[in-house]
Amino acid sequence: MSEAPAGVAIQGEESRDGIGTTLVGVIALIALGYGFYRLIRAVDPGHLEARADHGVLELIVDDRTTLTLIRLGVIAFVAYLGWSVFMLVRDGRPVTSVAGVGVAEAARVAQHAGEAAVDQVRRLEDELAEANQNVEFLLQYVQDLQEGATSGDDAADQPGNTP
Amino acid sequence: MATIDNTRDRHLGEVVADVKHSRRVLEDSRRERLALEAQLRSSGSALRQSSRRRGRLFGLLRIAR
Repeated sequence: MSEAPAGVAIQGEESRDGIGTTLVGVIALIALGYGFYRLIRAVDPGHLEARADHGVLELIVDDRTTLTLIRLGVIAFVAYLGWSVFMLVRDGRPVTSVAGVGVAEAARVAQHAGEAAVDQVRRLEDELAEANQNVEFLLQYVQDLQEGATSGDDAADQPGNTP
Repeated sequence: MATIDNTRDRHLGEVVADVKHSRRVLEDSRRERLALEAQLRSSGSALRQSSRRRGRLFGLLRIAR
């Protein structure tokens, strides 16, 4: 059937798309990680006796405990981003399951299969309707034959007529 | 002759009953198909909308790259 190759084509397209997404995700992750690394380095107070940076964030992050918590948060966020991109590539759905963003390949294949099945049902219905119509024509023909035979018999029964 | 007529009438009656049954099956099938088509239209629309959003998301990722 022609529907099966269509599904295969969709799978191939998704696969190529997944490779591109993987590259984009990896590059985006590296860029994000580097950016966060620079940000943390910028607010790192360094050794207590040798503070060199005097940025605005340093006024907020003025001790190592807070800085450690921020670092852990950034690491968790980057790990979450990586996991989300991985799930997006693997299942077509990010971890956040944003409504309408993730498209599972299975849903697309099922949609095509459903449309093909409905088309086939429609064709079968058309053929069945045509068959019903043909049978009705035949029944009507038989009924006409019967009526003709009956009227012929009645006419033959009339006096003066020959069958 | 009467036996032939009876057999013929019985066969004709069976054919008429089959046609009626076929019509009912056809109507049921059409009703279910229309419901399925409505569901497929809805899911197809959601799928296309979702695909567009996904395409935009990937576009943003490419731009970010």
